[in-house]
Amino acid sequence: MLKDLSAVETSSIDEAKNCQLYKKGEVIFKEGNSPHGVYCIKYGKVKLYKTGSEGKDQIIRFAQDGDMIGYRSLLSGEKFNASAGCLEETVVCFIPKENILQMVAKNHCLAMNLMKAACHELGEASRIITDLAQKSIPERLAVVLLVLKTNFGLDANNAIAQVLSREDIANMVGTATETLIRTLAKFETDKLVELDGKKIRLLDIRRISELAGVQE
Amino acid sequence: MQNTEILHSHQAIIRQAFSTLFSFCPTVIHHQLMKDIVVKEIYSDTVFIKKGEECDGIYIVLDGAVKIYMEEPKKRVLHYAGMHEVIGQPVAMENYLFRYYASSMENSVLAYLPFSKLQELMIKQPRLFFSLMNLINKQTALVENHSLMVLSEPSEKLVIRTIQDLKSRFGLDSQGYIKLHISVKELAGYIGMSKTSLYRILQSLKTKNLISQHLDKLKPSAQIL
Repeated sequence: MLKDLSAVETSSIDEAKNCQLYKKGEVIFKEGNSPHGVYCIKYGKVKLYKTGSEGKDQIIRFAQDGDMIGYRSLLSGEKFNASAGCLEETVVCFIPKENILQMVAKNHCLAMNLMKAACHELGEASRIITDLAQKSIPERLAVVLLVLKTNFGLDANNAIAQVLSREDIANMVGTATETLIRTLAKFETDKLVELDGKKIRLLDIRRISELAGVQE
Repeated sequence: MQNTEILHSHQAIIRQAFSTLFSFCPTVIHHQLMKDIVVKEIYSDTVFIKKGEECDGIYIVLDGAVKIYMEEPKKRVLHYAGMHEVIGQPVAMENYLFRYYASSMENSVLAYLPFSKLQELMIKQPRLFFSLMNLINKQTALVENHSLMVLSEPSEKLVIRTIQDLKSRFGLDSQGYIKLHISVKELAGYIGMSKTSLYRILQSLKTKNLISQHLDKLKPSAQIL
């Protein structure tokens, strides 16, 4: 998003930014707090999640190296509508509000890039909710496995590169953890996946895609 | 009717919409936007967006209600857009082809803003950018909250929350019925449950005097609101 900055703008950002190391599990910002700047992920992986009325966390999307988070709330004058937590050790650079607002007002390429990114998030959120809302649990799990594959890629063994807890995956699917574990076991029996501890190896992406109702 | 005539007859609605949607912008920007919009009167049950068509602008619902839906693999409603809601902006920005259909649920008035005009104006008036970001952020929050609701709420609570959401976005008529009229079948598809399950839940809510129903109209009680 910041690729269209001039040398002067980049230098101004470098002076103003403050980089910090977060450990796995640490929270970068909380839903409902007021933004004072934006956060650029230098390296690492972050989950954006909302907390439901029952206290359960629902992951809505992920962010990783090079992504900017918190910008939508800052630029629209709203509080954070999700929390951001680290899935692993993550370095995040904070850019204060004044610097970003000044740059956006002067650099229309930056403004357009930010708007495109915001629209992409809206499009993705709409697509995922309509995919999930009207599917059975196994179909939803298939959708979520593909979402995780798209976001994090596969390692050399075809396992989803990011390990998430069963509880996190269950919340994304919208079911109890016990039900998720049973459904994963059924997927393993049907040779769609192979489970190795918390790692999930995708054995048959074509069939998973068919179950999810998407074209792979 | 020509655009200028339609514009003139709906001026009050358009001005109200712009004050809400582009609240960060001074009225001079509202005047400039008025020159570029095309106002369309859409009759009830008219499909005005088709999947696969090119999108080079956004629609704003000035009056009425719009249904956004998919046809494959089966017909399902994605969203009901009410007054001052924006349709099309992710597509206009990203991949330029609509991925869904949109039809009016009643006689509606829509404003069409070509995206090229919005971009031109954003360069001259950066405050328009902040207004648009606010719109996109609100709409994304709406979708994310809907996702949270659908995936984590027990079924009866989900139905109640949906009724509350529809009431807040579409309002009530003089008899207390939600202004958006939807069949049980369509509502079930929207919420993501079977028609039978929804029918059972609606019966349960009626027994508890939380709603009443007449054909495709729902009347929430004060307790539920």
